[in-house]
Amino acid sequence: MRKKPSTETLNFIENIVVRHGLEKDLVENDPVLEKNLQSAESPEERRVAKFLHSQKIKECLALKRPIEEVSASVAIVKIIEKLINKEITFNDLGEILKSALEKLNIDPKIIEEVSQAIKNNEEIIWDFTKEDGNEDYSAEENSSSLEQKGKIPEGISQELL
Amino acid sequence: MKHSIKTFFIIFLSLLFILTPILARAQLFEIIAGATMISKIAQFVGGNEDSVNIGSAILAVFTLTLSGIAQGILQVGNDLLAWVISPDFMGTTIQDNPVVKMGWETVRNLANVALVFGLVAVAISIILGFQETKAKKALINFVGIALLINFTPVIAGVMIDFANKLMGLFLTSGINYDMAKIILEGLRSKSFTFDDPIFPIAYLLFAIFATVIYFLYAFIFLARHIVLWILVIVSPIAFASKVFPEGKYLQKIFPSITYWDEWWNNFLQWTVIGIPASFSLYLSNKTMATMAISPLVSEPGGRLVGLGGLLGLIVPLAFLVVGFFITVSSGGQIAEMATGYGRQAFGRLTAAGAGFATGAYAGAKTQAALTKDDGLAKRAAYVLGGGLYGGTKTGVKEALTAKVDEKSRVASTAGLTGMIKSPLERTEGAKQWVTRRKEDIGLEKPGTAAGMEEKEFKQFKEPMENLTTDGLRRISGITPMTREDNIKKHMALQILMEKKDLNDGEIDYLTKNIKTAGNYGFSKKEFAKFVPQEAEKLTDGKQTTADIMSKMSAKEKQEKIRTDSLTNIFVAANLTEKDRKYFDERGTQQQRDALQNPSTFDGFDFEKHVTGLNQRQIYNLFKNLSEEQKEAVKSNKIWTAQANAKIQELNNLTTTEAKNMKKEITKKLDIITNSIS
Repeated sequence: MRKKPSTETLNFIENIVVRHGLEKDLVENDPVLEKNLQSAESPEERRVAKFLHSQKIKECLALKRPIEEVSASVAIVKIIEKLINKEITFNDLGEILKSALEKLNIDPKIIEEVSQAIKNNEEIIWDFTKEDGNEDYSAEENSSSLEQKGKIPEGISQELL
Repeated sequence: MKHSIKTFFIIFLSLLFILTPILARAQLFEIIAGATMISKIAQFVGGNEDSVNIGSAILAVFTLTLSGIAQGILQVGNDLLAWVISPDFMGTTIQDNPVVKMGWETVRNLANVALVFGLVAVAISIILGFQETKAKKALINFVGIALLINFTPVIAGVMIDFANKLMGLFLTSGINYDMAKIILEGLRSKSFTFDDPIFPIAYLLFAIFATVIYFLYAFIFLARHIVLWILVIVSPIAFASKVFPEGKYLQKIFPSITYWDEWWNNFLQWTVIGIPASFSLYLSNKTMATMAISPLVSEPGGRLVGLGGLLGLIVPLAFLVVGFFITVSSGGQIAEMATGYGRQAFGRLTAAGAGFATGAYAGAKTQAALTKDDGLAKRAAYVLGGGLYGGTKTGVKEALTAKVDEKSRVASTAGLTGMIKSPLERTEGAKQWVTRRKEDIGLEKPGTAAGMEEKEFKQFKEPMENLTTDGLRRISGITPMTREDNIKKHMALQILMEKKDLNDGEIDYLTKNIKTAGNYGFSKKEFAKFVPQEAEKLTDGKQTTADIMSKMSAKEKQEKIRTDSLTNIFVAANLTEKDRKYFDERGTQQQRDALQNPSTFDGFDFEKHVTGLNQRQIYNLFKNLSEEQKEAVKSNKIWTAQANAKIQELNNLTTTEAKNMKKEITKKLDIITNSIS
């Protein structure tokens, strides 16, 4: 099962993108997106707003092209995903980030800063080391669900394994 | 619709054309003659000639025609049976029958040729010393058979005459016409009226039932004559086959009734088959004669006058039906055919009856709605007419499309044969009822009746467990007529479910009739696990898919959930990471393919799925999408437009509730967009 970056990691990446202005090209000439991004109150809202309103992202979806070609946050998330699934190492991280973000016309100095920030980030290290995804969505569980917390009853063969 | 109306009228007019000569005595002739048409219709309407209108006229013609046809075919059936069982039907004895004589002589000559070959073979065996003892025994056989071959008509004739004499004892007085007379009288005198619609319908049903019985008996007696002729004709060959030593190739040379054993088997069956049939007719006649002197049922008063006589007919009819099935149970291939016809007839009659009832209700309801602004008389006429038309149309359709299992021996019951066996079943059902009542008042331990029921279901289920899917499907497809049939049908469905072999039609049937299925042993609980997406329908909204699946382990989910159900969004959303890992490691390829199937997201809808699932379920659903599934979600523009609209709507609201809802929706959309980006 492929590991996915945690919400905290995704939020961290989004904050980096905002701090360093990595998606100026995405917002350029897209007043609807710009307006929705301005009113977004959280990184989740920003990510959702980009997916729903960005013209460039919609074009990519229509033409079945990878979204990381137009969105820096998606490009970084994909690289982090490879990292936490051990498809690349921390040592390769810098080079791969550079090659991905240069295609988005981002300044090499900024790319270096982003790379350093990622390497130092505790959430990403945690994602790298943790076992398979255990996102906690228990607080928002559907009220009609009787889903039990904790161990799901297993058959004997599973327990023996 | 137009085509079916056209077909109906073509059939109706054809029947009219064909049966008009036969119906010369029937009321229909009077209608065609026109002499009493208006007064008949007026009588039907319950008013005077002035109150006749188009609706009542059509209805009157329809019902009188139906009655006339019923009378005609009942008369034909009665007369046919009387003729077939009369001593003069086949006037000559079998030995004197010219057809049998001619056929027998030809076959005897062939048999003699076979005997000559046999003799040569025996002689060669003795000369060469090959299996000499056997050959000498065969020689003795040969001499005996060579003599007997010339006397087979006599031997067969003696036995047939003996059986005929016995039958003659029972059939001395022929058919008792009283039953047909009562029904015919009822059909003639009890016209449809607004006041009294029940009796005409009851007489009509009795007429159809009695006609079917008469035709079936006539078929049996007629078939007996023909079959015995054929058997006597081929008897020399059958006797000659006894000369040859037994071996697997012998039955290829002397197939079916030309082989000694088969011949005797069929001959004895068909010789005696007429005896129980005659006895049933005798009993029926006696009952009618007794009823004429002292009625079995007293005649009620008031509006039920005539019902006593009608109910009394049930007993002689029952003797005939039961006698028929007992008679054909031992009768070989042609009797199996007759049994099949009998089962088809009764099965389709039952289906027609049920279809008539539902169609009549629907038709009457439609006409009532269409004529709600019209006068009472006109409305009533149209309602009754609509009911009759709808009932007839649906009844005919159900009769033509009913699936009646003619051949099954496992689901052995249909009609009254089952009723004979079912006192035991009924006793079982009654025992359980009594036990439940005892539990209610504390005389029995709680759960005793349930235990008895479990045991009863198990007794039916166990013998079916080794059947193939086709065999189980045949049983599950029968139209059940008794409690036993119902239990067998639903146990067959239970086994099909356990084998994960239920098809869409069967699942649909079980979903709609889960309460009935549960009464006959089908496990509702297991079915909910099999198709968890139907949880709300199956539990009357008490449980959701999530509720059912949360109580299942990963192993249970892999073993019990139907593979197709894995492509349902709600089912997929309730498979945790652990479950998916289990499917990956222990599931079948079909299950893994289903979990990766992009069609799961074909109808992905914001309102239904995003709002209807919680965050954990959304996470489960989108965690490990295949590339094709991602594409399916991305290319679906409807849900994104719906999401957009919802968020805009919430943005315009300032309440705390709206803000919380927006927050929740945003989190869910975040999970989705991250998964598919």
